[in-house]
Amino acid sequence: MKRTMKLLPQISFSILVALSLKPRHGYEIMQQVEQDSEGRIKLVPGALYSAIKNLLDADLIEEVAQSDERRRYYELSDKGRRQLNAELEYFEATLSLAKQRLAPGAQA
Amino acid sequence: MNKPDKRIALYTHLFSLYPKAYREQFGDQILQTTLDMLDGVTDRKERQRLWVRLALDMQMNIGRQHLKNAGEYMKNINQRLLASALWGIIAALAWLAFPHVRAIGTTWMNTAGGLRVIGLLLFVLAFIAIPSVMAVLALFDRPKTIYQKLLN
Repeated sequence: MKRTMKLLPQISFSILVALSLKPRHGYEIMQQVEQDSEGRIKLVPGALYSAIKNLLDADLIEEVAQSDERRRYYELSDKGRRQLNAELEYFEATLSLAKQRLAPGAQA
Repeated sequence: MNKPDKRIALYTHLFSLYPKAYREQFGDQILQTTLDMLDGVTDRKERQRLWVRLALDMQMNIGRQHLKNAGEYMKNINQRLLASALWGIIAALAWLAFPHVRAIGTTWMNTAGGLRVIGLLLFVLAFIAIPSVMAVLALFDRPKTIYQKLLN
């Protein structure tokens, strides 16, 4: 992961993960985030759309047209997909490092 | 659609406290998502807990959005002056109140406790000052059509 790439806040990261499969509207994103986190993250509308605004401003997600006129759908942009992949690489590397250090007999 | 719950109507009217740009961009979606959440909860106690979460969320988010908008407001010289004047008034009030509040604090509690009360009061005052003023200004500019359309 490039050093210049900043890690996203947890809620923003969770929203990107929720959008990784298909476009979703706000309530679907909330449900998917809660499901992905096994109930640990329960979003409320204010926090959700505050994060969505930040993601839109950063061009990590885009609004897409769907048949449901009352709800707006969002999907990952190309930049968002790259950001998500980069963060996953970082977390995988960190996880591997942590497991090595916590292994029995690991030396400093 | 059934006649809207009074709490939903109140929640909708409180949307006028958000900054205008944010309200226009996300207001209808926030309301729709809230209605979706409420539709998904049938248990009475769960709905009550949900309303508490929604109220706290709205309070925090309104303040957060106004503070985020502060940079935009500062570009306008008149609003810069207004914000400076407001902070000056708050600081002056805090300075004037300090001896009295400190006296009360030292009477009721030890010195450390009194200062904690003062700190908390100043924090609360600062936290609500900006959004409160912006909310008053926003009340004069309230789009009714978006939410009326959703509720009808």
